[in-house]
Amino acid sequence: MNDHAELLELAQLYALGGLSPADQALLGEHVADGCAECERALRENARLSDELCLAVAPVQPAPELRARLLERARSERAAAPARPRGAPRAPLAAAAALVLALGLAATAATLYTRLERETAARADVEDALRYQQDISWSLLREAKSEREERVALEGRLEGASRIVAAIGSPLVRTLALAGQGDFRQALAKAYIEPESGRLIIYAHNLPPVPDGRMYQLWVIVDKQPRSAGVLRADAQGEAKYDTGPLQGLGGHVSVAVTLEPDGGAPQPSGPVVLAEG
Amino acid sequence: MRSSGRPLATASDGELLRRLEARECEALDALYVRYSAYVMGVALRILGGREEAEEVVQDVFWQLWRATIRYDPVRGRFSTWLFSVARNRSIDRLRSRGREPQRADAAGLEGLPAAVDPEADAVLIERQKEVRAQLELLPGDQRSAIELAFFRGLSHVEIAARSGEALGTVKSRIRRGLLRLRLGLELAERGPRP
Repeated sequence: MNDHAELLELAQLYALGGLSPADQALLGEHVADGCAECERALRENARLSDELCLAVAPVQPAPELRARLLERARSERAAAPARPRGAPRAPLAAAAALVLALGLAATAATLYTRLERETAARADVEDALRYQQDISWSLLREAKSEREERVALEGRLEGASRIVAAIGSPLVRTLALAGQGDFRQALAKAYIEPESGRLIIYAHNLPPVPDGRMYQLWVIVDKQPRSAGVLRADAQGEAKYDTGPLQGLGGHVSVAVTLEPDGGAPQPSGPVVLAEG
Repeated sequence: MRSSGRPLATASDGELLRRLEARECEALDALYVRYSAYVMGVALRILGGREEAEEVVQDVFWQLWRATIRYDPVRGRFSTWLFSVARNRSIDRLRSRGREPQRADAAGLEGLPAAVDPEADAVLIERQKEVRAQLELLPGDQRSAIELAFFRGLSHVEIAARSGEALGTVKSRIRRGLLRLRLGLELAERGPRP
């Protein structure tokens, strides 16, 4: 699998887990190669994954756990107040054995104590490394940031990837649209690229349109609505629409969707389906 | 090194983390009081047994103290990051003993009791309500697939095998659900609907 669309799907799924190691490796290489869109999908979904934990009701652990943890922390601090938190030092086992052989038992005991601590520290570091794998995507992103910016810029100039690149551009304005009235389950995001006057909208949870009706998209510039096209939802109630370049998107721009008669209306006349929340 | 200032119980997460860096046991205690019930909730949901869930709680806060795990602000709020760590640790344990939680009813997001914890951060409670509300809005099959992947650590192949559906269907269902959740939460962050 090396097609970008398939890898983007993997990026969207990564945060929940469930990818095979092979898929993870492919995705990692793809992001490292500078795919800004997949990197963005990883970042957005990582945060969502964090927040999903909030769906769970809190449960108080046993009260004695708190005291136990605190006592352990105090003991650890007292035992090693200035213990460095970095990587473990060189192995000390050989040195301890040699000192013991020379009869310096007290010194050996000290070294063995150090060895014990270093072993514990090493386990911690290994654990930390394991955790770091979880956030390796963001590290990868930092390492490749310049390259990704260049690729994203080039992408904006290419027709096939223009939508993707436009959304990733810092110049793009993003509007969140909320369902209104009977359409309150619907939601959408609109992206406006001021340079080109382009508007892209992604809508979800749109109810099926009644016969003889259609969803009409409006761009509202300085409170004056202008028709920007028709939204056609699929069976899942999802719709994507790219207006192409629109003229005169200076000033305050807003976006809305209304339910209108087939063929469209010159001005909004039906119920408002989506508008800025 | 003891910092002066407002009481730890009302200190921000950022301040507590700074104090934790300075090895103040009291900061660890304050973070524990603030978040241990949430960490426990996540671990219990995944593992199903109190004893093992409490081990995860101990493990997570101990590693926070030892600076073995470090919060990266890129990941969002400290609290949600911490819960995510708990989730990862719990999934690891689940995998090490063959996947299934201890109770048959340990998974499933439906019918979750409302979180009422007067000591918890008000913003967190509000966010929790919103996440639950958005999950409720998802079609059942999307919510179920997300739940199996997220709280059981099942691979997509395993979810497909359980449901008897095509792998592509499962992936598509999870992606759609995640997208709706994200958009819904983003909208909620911008303010209440009219």
